[in-house]
Amino acid sequence: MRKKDIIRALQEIDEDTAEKLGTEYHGIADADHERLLHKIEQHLAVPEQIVPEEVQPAQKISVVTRFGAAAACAVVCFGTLGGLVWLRMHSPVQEHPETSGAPVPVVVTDPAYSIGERYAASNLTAEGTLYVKVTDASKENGLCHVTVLLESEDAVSLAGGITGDQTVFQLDNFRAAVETDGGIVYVTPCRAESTGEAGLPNTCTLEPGEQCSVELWYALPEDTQTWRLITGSSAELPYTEIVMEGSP
Amino acid sequence: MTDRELQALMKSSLNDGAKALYQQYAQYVYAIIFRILRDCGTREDVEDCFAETFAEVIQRFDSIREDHVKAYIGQAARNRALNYCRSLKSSRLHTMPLEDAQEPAEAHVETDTEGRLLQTELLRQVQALGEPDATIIVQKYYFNRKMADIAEMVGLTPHAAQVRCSRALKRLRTAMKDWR
Repeated sequence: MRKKDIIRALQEIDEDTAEKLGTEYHGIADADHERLLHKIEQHLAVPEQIVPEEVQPAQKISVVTRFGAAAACAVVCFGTLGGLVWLRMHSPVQEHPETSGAPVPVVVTDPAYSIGERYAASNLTAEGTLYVKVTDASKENGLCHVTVLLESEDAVSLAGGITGDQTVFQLDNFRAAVETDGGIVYVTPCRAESTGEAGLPNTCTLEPGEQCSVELWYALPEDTQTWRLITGSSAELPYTEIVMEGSP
Repeated sequence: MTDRELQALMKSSLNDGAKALYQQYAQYVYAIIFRILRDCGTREDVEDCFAETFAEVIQRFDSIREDHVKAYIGQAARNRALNYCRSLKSSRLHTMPLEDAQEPAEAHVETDTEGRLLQTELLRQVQALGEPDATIIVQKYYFNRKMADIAEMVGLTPHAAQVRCSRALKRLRTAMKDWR
């Protein structure tokens, strides 16, 4: 082998080999730990005080049900790893003033469902019934973030897709189209399987009574006030209509 | 520490649990993310993605099945890195011609049997170099670190590390001479 072939082979290793290299030869150098821990701390920390003038508020979204009012942030002290104190684990998140109080009705057209309503999705599972509930939605900096709760009383394997308005978002088999600025942030806690080709799970398997939460994000045109999250590959299927507050 | 023990530790002491989680999986998570982002992002992107992944795993640790911790963390790292890569590519596409945008490492990976055999043998030969040569080669040609940083890691002067690197590469060439 030529020198350049060896170097290229080292740079094109597969995932198993990469894991071995990373573990045996320390992809993270000793000097990097403190910086990385600090970055993790920043992601976990909740700002003590938010100055309203410095914060660009997210656009208000109609929300009937808020998900996870007791969502936690973490306090982690790594002690010997750098003496970093991570802040405020398990402190309850204060409900955002924009979404507190009485639920704001969402304008829906049959068979659409509003945020917080559970309904059976069609044609997404070969057997069993999969229930879908959009639990949260927000729009910020041109990106829409939607949290979807999937649950089933049967054992189901979800191999179909969740799509948004076809003109702005296409998510096929949990795989974001390459051209679209979108993707799945997290799938939890479900048994997800992927071909590995695109990295995102192609199937999501739920045991009876199990739930999983899926967070999607994708770009929306600036002037979009209403959009639909369709559970399936056709506009005929049930969908959740998400309406920006103040929309006509 | 087993995943079950890790789960128990997380429940009894979050600080100790998070520390153990980091110690156990930091290199693993970093390796997955680095491999995906190495062709489309900077080292800072890798570190940001790493930190986001870890923070999220810590926050959601309660919901992970105790016998699925490694698989869950690996998948979380993979998903986040691919999203990150896609996002980086997407923002770059606004400023560069499409043909200049690189595919993520996924597209270059050898998947055929011969490729896997080559990688296995190469890894074996790298390990056979012994220390500090193996570390120098991996850090230089896989993790793309500067020689000055590598020298500090292995306790040599930059010049000495460079000399060892050249000699180690020659030994690898000899050991891999029958491979193409």
